[in-house]
Amino acid sequence: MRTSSPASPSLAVRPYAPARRRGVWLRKAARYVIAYALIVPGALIFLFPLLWMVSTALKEPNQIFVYPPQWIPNPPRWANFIEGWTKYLPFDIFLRNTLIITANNVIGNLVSCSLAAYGFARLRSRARDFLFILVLATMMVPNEVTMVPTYILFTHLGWVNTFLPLMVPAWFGWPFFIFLLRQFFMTIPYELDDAARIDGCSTWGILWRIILPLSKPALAAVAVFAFIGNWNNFLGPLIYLRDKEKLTLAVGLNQFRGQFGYVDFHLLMAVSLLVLLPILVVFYVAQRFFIQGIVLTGIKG
Amino acid sequence: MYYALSRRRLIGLSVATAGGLLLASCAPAAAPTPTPAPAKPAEAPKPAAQPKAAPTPTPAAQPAAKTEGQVVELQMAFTWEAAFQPVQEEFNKKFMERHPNIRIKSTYNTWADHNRIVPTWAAAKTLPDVIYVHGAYIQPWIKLGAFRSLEPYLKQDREFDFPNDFWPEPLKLYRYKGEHYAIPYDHGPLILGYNKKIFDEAKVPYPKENMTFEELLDLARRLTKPGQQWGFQGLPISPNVFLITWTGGWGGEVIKVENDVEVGTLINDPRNIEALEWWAAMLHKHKVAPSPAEMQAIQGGPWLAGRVAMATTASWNTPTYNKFGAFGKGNWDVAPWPKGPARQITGSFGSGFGITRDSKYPDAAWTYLREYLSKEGQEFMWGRTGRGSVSRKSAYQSWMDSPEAPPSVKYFKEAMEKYAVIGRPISAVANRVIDIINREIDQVMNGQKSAKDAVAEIQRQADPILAENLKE
Amino acid sequence: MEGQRARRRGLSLSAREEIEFFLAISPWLIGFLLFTGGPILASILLSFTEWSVIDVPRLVGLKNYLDLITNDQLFWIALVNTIYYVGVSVPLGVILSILVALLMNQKVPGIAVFRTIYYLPSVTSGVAVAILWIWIFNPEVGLLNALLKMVGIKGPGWLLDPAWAMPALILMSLWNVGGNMVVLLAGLQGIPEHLYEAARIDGANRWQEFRHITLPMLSPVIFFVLVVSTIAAFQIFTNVYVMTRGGPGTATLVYVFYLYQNAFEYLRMGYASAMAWILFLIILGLTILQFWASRRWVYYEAGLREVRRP
Repeated sequence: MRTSSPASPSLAVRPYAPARRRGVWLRKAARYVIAYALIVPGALIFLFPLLWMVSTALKEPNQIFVYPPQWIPNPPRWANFIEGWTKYLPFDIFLRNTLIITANNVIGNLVSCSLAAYGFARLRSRARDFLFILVLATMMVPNEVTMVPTYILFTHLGWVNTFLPLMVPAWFGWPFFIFLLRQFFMTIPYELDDAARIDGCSTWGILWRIILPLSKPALAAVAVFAFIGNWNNFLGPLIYLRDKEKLTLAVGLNQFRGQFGYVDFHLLMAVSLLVLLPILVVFYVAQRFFIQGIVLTGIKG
Repeated sequence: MYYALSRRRLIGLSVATAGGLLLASCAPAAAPTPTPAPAKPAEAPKPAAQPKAAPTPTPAAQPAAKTEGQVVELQMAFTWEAAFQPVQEEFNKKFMERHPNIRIKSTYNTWADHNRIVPTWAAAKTLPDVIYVHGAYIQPWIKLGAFRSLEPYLKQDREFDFPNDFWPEPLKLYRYKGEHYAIPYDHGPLILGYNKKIFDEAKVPYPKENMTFEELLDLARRLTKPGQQWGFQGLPISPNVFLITWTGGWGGEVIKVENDVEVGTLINDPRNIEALEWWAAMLHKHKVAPSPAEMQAIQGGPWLAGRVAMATTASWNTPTYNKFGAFGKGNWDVAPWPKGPARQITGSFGSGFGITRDSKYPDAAWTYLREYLSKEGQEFMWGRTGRGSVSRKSAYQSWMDSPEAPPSVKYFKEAMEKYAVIGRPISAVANRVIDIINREIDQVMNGQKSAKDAVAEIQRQADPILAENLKE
Repeated sequence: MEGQRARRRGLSLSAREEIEFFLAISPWLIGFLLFTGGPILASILLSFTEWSVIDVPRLVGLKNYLDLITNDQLFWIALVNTIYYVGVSVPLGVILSILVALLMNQKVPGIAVFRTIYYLPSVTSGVAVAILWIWIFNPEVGLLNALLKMVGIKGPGWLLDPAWAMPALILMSLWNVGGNMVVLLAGLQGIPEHLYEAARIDGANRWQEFRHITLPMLSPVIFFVLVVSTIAAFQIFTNVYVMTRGGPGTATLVYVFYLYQNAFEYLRMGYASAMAWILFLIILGLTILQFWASRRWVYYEAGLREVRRP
């Protein structure tokens, strides 16, 4: 469906006859109704887990498994949030650690993946196709079998129990993002490159001045994914971080699980909600970049 | 693996898992004695004598066993959840006060992650000094060399009072080729739990001692209201595999053991078939147990929701029942596991701690372990907190006195003394065998396969795998 | 003129481009050589060994591969299950993500909130999600069967029925449309408005606009979604690990789950590595096929210029 673009001259205000105006309003209303009719049921289903989390987060432990389930706990136990966050584990420290790693990785990924994607999208080389398949190939190996050799590698480097295994690789690209950005870069017409070169722009200048600005939606998507992926990343910190002060939110959350099925659900859900909030905020705010970015092709008609 | 399965299911199926888990964990596996004869395992669980007040000296009086003069740092890996970590930290703190030259660094992982991480650490040769080990993984890890033999310490440490003060049956888990490589900290049987409120409402007398399975069925029928309330929860549906709890009563065995080595299955036996059919009938014919769909529909399982009269119950379920049971603490109790036509038998399982191969300071690690698993240590960590049915007979009373213990907690002890056996299979290939057994028995309980076909299939698939234990 | 300049510098244009190319991908390449390549190579070698992870590896040649193919019925079951899963869930998922992205691109009030809600599944706690699915798929009280009952159909046992467990898993996979939706939304932004204007002037209707402008312009991104979804679908693990554990029976025994069991529960890492590399070859083959086929239907705006420059 088309994106409405206020800057486009063709949609400038035109005089409508009053009868037409009513017709336009009806069509618009119909469109709204159809849109909502399609969107809302899915949204309700997608909201369900969140609602369940909120409900459980406010319950007394022995109310969690009552059947039929009580959706609204009575009385609600707000203390779960405080107890979960402060009483047993230093979640504020976990928060700090997670922020450091995530910020680093978002920036690192943006830089390294843009560069690599630019190479694969725009620059020519005999080795290009083979190397690109290699990039993709690394996504095709289940990480269960590379986990242990990687761990041994990092042990030999002496990086275990530090943030390094979690932060350094981000500066060396990640196949998923490289592929994504490559696809986006390849939708940008060459004419723009040519125009820039004629103006004396270097290869890197083209990347910086033409490709990247036009790829804001894709870069925003990468940034959001990188943020969320790192915020929730569990396996890496689990394996590589041993000291409690170094743990991240995702690993800390996990420690509400005990042995043999014992799980402090009420605390787990409460803190999970707290950990989820920044993601939702980031996503909601970032939408502006990958939804409403207006792409000016710079070429008229 | 038993716990592993139950934990994973709980994560995903909080609905059925907690219920099924509780049930599952109850089933003991085959009798440990190599004789296939369905004799009561008289020699195993009966302790030689009642635990005397073994005079374990206070840790303070103990000279530090051979630790070097320098400051030594021990790494430890536990699986305690956040709420229990403070107890561990407190023990460590007091230990460090007693032994200023030993520093302790603890890592906490969830149970499932721990089992994945330990091999990884082992591969990089960076195992911590002391680690927790679950019964389902102890034999593979020992066989592959992750642990040090503790015999040198056990032989000369008289005060540790090993093995006399320990329940004898559990020790089989930690023994390999005659040597002990880890020491249990908790070990418990599967018996019967019941919801007092339901019995009171229906004015039905509580389950009593010396009950048979038929009497269990009778009670269950009286307490079942279709769609609302069920008489019994705890069929042998995965993640459980202590099959012996369900089949042993009819006299059959599950695993064939020769010289302490598991070499094959004994499951293809008419007695086992009869037992499995009896249990399946509980669901399909008598309808006193919730169906898999009903188990799944109720989050945590109908038992925790307070809708089931009786359920298989393990000693390690007590904190969960007290905290999360909708029936509320004090409204549930335990009774002995019923007798089958041939005998009374149930399975048991547990976990322990050991010193790893990569430890640079095994002597210091032993200094820690000997206090951690001493009578005082066990009382402090798991007895008074009610966390575990401890492995020392002398410390057992503290668990029985703990606030988590149900009123008739003595039945756990009775089981440990009289009729609980180790929940087999436990050997290095056990996890593969367990998955096979799970798949087949589940289908029997779901009515998708006959017991006869299932046990034949288990035998066909599992025998070659268990035979690998013979190859060294 | 540029060529002359280059020649004066002593480097041909193509050589200079090669250098620039390698400079651009150098972070990735270095990272690959340092961090990724080694473990991958190790894992290939380990597939020819018996390795319990705790103990040292022992070379056994092709034994793992032969055992898998000739001696392990679970291997074939897992492979078939996984192919079934991929074959249905990927096309369904891609089509659904496109539709959802289009829907989420509508300018109706509150759409930003809805987009966030549609993205929620990708970030919500696994426990909560599992509970949702159990509630939806429960044969007796679940939402799905309740809806089916309303139209007079008796719903199957879903996760508890060997024949319906895999379809349930496939339906569950549709839950993750959020991620693909984001990418496709970004792609939709890149379609120049003037194309739609020109089409409207020519009298095209909505469907024609979609078919002749939206789809082709979006095709590079759709291709991305397709390839990535396929690779991911072959490796499906989490839902099985957390909910069905391969059951009932072996109905949902998927490849990577069986691999995981071999690697960490049975401690047969060499065997699991062999499994991984067989899977790799399958995925690689399919991906190359997809790339080859993409020349037919993927339209790169920049692709018009893919000719060798002098």
